[in-house]
Amino acid sequence: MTTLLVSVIPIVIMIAVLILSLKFRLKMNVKITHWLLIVYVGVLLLSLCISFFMKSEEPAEMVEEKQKTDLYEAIYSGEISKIDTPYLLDKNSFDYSGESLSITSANAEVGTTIFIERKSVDDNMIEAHIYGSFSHMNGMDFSEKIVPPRVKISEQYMSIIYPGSQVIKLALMKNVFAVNQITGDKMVNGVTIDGPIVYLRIPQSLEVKAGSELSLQEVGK
Amino acid sequence: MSLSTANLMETVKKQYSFKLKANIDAISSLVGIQLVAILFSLGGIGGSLSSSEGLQINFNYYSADVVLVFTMFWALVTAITITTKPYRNHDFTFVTNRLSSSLSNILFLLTGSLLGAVTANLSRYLLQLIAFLFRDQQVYSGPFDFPVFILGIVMSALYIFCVCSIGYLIGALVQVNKSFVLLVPVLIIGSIFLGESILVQLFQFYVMEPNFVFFLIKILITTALFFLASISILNRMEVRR
Repeated sequence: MTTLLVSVIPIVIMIAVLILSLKFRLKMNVKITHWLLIVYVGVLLLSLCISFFMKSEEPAEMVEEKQKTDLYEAIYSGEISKIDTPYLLDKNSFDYSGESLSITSANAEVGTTIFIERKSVDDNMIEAHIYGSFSHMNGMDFSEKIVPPRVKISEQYMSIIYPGSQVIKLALMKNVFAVNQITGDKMVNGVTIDGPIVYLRIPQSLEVKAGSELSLQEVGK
Repeated sequence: MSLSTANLMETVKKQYSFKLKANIDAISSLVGIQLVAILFSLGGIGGSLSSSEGLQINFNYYSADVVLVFTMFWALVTAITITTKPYRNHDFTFVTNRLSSSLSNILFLLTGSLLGAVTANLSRYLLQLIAFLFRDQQVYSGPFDFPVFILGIVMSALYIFCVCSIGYLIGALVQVNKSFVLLVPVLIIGSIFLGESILVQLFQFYVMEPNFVFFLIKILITTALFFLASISILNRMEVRR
């Protein structure tokens, strides 16, 4: 009932404005109408001009490679670490000479997957890559807004500290439905989010264990 | 009896420029209604999306959809209004007939449609600016795409002009027989309650058409048919009725 009332209010106000303006129309001076129109169009054009300056604060445009590469496909193939990908959010390297490594985590969601790629050599080096993407179909890349998890190694333990549940607020402008009808843009499905994903490159014979909240997935075999 | 021969094009041109001045006040209601629509659009449409890795995006979409819909409503009312007696009597200031009167009205409605389409599409930038200044919210709009901007104006103008033709036909019908004042709303409301509503099918026929050329053909043919019907109805009326 409340929803119905809320949806009816704009229509009632719209009709009221029209009726009032039709009555008012007879009394309104032609000069005032001219000025009203000039000021209104002027304000609209000024807003258009100002919007160009506001664009300087907008995020970078999504690179072409990101538009055609699927992040999860690239991760499962184990090829992602070998290419210079725009999905990379953070990268760290650690010297590690132990035979086994226990991975612990903080603030991780249950079932969070850690991807592991075994290198072809035992080079006593662990690389931690963080991948992720947050983009919109209008071509804007908001990936910088993602806070990547921090990775630390002390003795035989690697701790992955997730930033907790991240809430990103975003306001976006859409074209009118008349344009979306031709361009095919939908109102809801414009946002794509992936990650943040932790991807470890470890020496070939290193034994890896993890807490129950984490799921280890070896890739590129 | 007039000694000079009146040329139709000349008469239409004179009547059109007169109507632009005489009906300029219709524009003040357009500005008013668009400002109200902008006010309603300030809330935006919200949504939420989350990833399995604990990332949650709360997004809010802003668009000039409400402004365009309100403008279409304005077009409907304006088109009906200009068929009423006080407005028709303006024409008798000139050497006129029903055809020249209708043609100048259509030209006036086309001008109003174009103005409404341009301002409705520009209002998204005012919306963006108001959200930034008064709601302290950066609204991202993506790169400015000039062809899409023009497409927006053309598509909106086509919709508004089509609504004008519907309004003009309703106005013409009401001038012929006052019972249409009741009959038209009854027909519209009645069709909503029909099983597989005719309105839904009409909506799919026009609003779901993804091809611009097909949409253009559909809208132009519909608009032309409505205006032709209105002209023929109004032509049958006696002078100064």
